Amino acid sequence: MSIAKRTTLQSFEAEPRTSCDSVLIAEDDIMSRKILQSWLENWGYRVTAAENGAIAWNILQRERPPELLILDWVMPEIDGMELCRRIRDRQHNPYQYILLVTARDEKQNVVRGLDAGADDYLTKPLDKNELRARLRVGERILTLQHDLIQAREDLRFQATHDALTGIFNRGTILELLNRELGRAARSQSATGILMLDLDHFKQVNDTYGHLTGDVVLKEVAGRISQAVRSYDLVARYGGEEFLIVVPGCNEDQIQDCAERVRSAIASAPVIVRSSEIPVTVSIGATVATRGAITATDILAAADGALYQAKNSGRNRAVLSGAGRKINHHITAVCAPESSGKLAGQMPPKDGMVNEI
Amino acid sequence: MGGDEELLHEVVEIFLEEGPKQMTTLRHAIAEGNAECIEKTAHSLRGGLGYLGISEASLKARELEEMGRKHDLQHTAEVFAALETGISGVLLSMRGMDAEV
Repeated sequence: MSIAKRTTLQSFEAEPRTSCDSVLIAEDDIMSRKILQSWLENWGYRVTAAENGAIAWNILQRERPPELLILDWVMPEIDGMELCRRIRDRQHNPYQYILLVTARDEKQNVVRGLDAGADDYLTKPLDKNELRARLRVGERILTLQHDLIQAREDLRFQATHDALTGIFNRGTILELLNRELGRAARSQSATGILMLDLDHFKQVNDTYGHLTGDVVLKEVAGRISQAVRSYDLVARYGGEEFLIVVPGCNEDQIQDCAERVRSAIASAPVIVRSSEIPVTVSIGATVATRGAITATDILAAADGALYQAKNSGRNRAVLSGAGRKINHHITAVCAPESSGKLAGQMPPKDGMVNEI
Repeated sequence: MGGDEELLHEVVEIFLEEGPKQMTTLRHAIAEGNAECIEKTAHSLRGGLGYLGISEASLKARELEEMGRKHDLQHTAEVFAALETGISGVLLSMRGMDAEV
């Protein structure tokens, strides 16, 4: 049914293009430009033509500039060599493959061109077949780079996400939580977390087997992801535990969120093959309302609330106030069948006040 | 050109238009002794002539380009004359060809 959202950390790169079919030519001579453009288009490339170096440089500032570049050495405004140097200094990602073209073929010029950052060097008049072959060389190199980037991104995803459900793994969510708490401390804003534990999950595994248990976990992860806002962070925290970080929320909002999640999971059974498996979850919710709090403290508070939820009937959320050191109150957000109301306030009972 | 009829036609068109202009510019540059302009214009001409496969004239253009680059303008007039001869014949036959197409 629903697939867990693929949220990415901010440090992930934008997805790389897979085709290197876009070429920029910078050539001031009309005839050369015309011929080059005609050849390239016949070979299936998309061509952007610039008649001098300055125009070429502007084109390169665009968001997804061509990755194959054919630059004439001698041209007005900015010449090919200078363009090479600027491109290499900028270290744009992904790599741009540069063919420097010139009428000058003395060895020292070849060396100068390559040293300035050109990947290849061609002399005019261009031989059609040679140009085509050298462009293919460039494409091979660019494809290599794309494949490497893709592989790295795949690895990065695997390292930060849970293999079964596709949501964040424990290590990552803790890092994200720390980041969020730091941010909240600086901006004096609130952070909420929900700690979830599936009810009677061991029974599910025992009755239906672990494979079915896995399907249930995936389904639950999906339902949670659908129920929260796009900027809430959802992770698999343990075997049957989930952790949700809810940035910038107050107690009312965390309760709403908790109820949405609880309801999304409990409202319909999980269907695996032809079995209908009812699933419910216990939730410990907490909001750190006052700036600075450590991850350990906020997690402990949520954990305490989760414990309360388990002990008072399951399929419910319990809220604990972690930001306050005294006068804690515990608000039980009950499943409709037990209280018929959401967010019923209960005064603190002896022995139930959190020490946190 | 690689056997592309249409491209050849277009390129010839360009040369028919640009060629004479460049020759005029070059003539003036030589008369004025403007080495830089000689180098630049001869460079352009050389490129076009090269693509069209007019090697004799292309070599002359290259010579002029070198002279301009080295600021050695002694023999520019002679070389230009040879270039002019080479090109005028070509331009004539191109116009003929163009008229046929």
